[in-house]
Amino acid sequence: MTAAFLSRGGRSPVRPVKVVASVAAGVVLLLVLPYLLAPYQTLLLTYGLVMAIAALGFNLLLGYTGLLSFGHSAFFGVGAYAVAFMVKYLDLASMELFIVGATVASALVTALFGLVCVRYTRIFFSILTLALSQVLWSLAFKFFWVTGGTDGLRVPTPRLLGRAVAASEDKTTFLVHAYYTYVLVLFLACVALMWVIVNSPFGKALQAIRDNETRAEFVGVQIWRYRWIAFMVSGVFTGLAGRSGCRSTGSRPRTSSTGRSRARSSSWPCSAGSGPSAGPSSARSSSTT
Amino acid sequence: MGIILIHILNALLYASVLFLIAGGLSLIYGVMRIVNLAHGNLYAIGAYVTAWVVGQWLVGAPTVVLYLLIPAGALAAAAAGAIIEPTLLRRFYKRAEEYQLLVTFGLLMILEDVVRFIWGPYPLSASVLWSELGSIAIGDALYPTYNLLVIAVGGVAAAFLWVFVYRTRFGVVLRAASQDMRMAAALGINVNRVYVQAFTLGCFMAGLAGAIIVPSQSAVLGMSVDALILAFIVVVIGGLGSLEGALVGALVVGVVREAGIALFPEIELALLYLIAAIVLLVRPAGLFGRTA
Repeated sequence: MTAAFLSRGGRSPVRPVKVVASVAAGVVLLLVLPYLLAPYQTLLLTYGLVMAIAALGFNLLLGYTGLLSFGHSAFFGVGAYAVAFMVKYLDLASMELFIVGATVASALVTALFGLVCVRYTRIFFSILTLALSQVLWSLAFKFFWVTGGTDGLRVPTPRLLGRAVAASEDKTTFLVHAYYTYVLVLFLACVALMWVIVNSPFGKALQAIRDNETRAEFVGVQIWRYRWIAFMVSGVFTGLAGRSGCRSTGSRPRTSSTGRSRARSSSWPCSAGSGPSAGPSSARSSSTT
Repeated sequence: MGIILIHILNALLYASVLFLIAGGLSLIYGVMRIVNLAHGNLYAIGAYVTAWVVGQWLVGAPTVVLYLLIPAGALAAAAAGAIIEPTLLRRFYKRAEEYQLLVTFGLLMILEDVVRFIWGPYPLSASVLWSELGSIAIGDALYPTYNLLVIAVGGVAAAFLWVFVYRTRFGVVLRAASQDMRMAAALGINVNRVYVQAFTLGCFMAGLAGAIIVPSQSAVLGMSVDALILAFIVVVIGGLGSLEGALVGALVVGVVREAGIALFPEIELALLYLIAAIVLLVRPAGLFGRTA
């Protein structure tokens, strides 16, 4: 009985070798894909990885905590705009600094939003997150002298680990190989981190809250605090995704708008993106679970 | 003086359209306990169908005929509702709310693309109805007569709905089903039929809103989400599931939006969302809502 109990609460035990093998196969496939696919498809794939990072965060909230947020796109936008502001006002171009900046910015915003939102659950949580994300969207939309409004802000191709696009190098090649690999590594790091989070006592507490709030409280879990932290973690993941997404789209001057299309994707389509892809990515994260 | 009156009329114009949309949303929630995120799309369908009938199909027909055909959009939306409820939504009443939100959200995306597929990406206009009525002088300012018609339709619809829900047998059945679905079923009410009727009525209202507003604006892609968000604000302020709440909420949003546009246009939208957020924080069930 204890053995069954120890091996993930009654579910049929998964052989570690099998898991490691399938994960390794997946990683290798993702690593070689840029050499097999056309550049455009690799760019799409990069965007897919970005959305998968966002979906990881979204899934922590919906899948593990039982809260359906319609405002996650706002954090995607916060990440993207944080980077755009770093370019515009601080004249930075280093991807590592962008990551730090987007993380800090989305952590601050989600902490604030979370304080308000996690007091409610179910429909009211969903509507409240939607309302707050719409506040951010309309601010980004209207304050065009800061945010560029519908035109958005241009974000040039960043330096990865101090390496910029060489003058001789084609920018597409840079995006398809260096940038893709960078995003892939980031994505894998996020998956690993999320795996640790959902398997930690913290993650177990979240699942307990999702399954039975009253009992979880009775056991001594401080519900709103756990929800709040889950909201923050989830938002920061999404903000990270916003930062990378802003790079892959924003680096092309043609679609450099982090404005309405971005902020709009920040209001609806993105949460649509997270919805369905929460499936694949949750399958991914739970297949490693 | 005239300017103030114009502002008040504009606020009423917003309010009557919003009441029709949000009233339908609220009615559907009140009876079926389902938040229909695709509600804005029914509004868009109403607008598109009327704009298509008036602006493309029957262009050049006698104007009287065109005015009488305005409700075509509302009927189309009602028909769509009568199809959606039994085929799709009925399966989700017993599921957790998250699934209902997700499935109606999926419906939102699908219907948005269906509209794009049928009518293409360009705006449709029915402005002939709007310009035909001309404008009238109010004080020292001119105001489009058609807008007064919209306000009147909104008012009549509100009165009609009130009579319908509180003074007819169907209204009694509707309220009974919304209060306790099992008890109503035990008393011999065909709950499934009530659900279809209520959903169709809600969609009819949304379609009517789109149909009457489209001559003064035009039918564009994205109007559905804009309307949905505003309708949400209305029902959040007024309380989900309450028709009085939808009326008061629509008036509040109409006035705030008009005042916001006149006084501080930059934060006009943010102001609305902030009001909704504050109401949610102070009174989560809304001003007229039943506690969940």
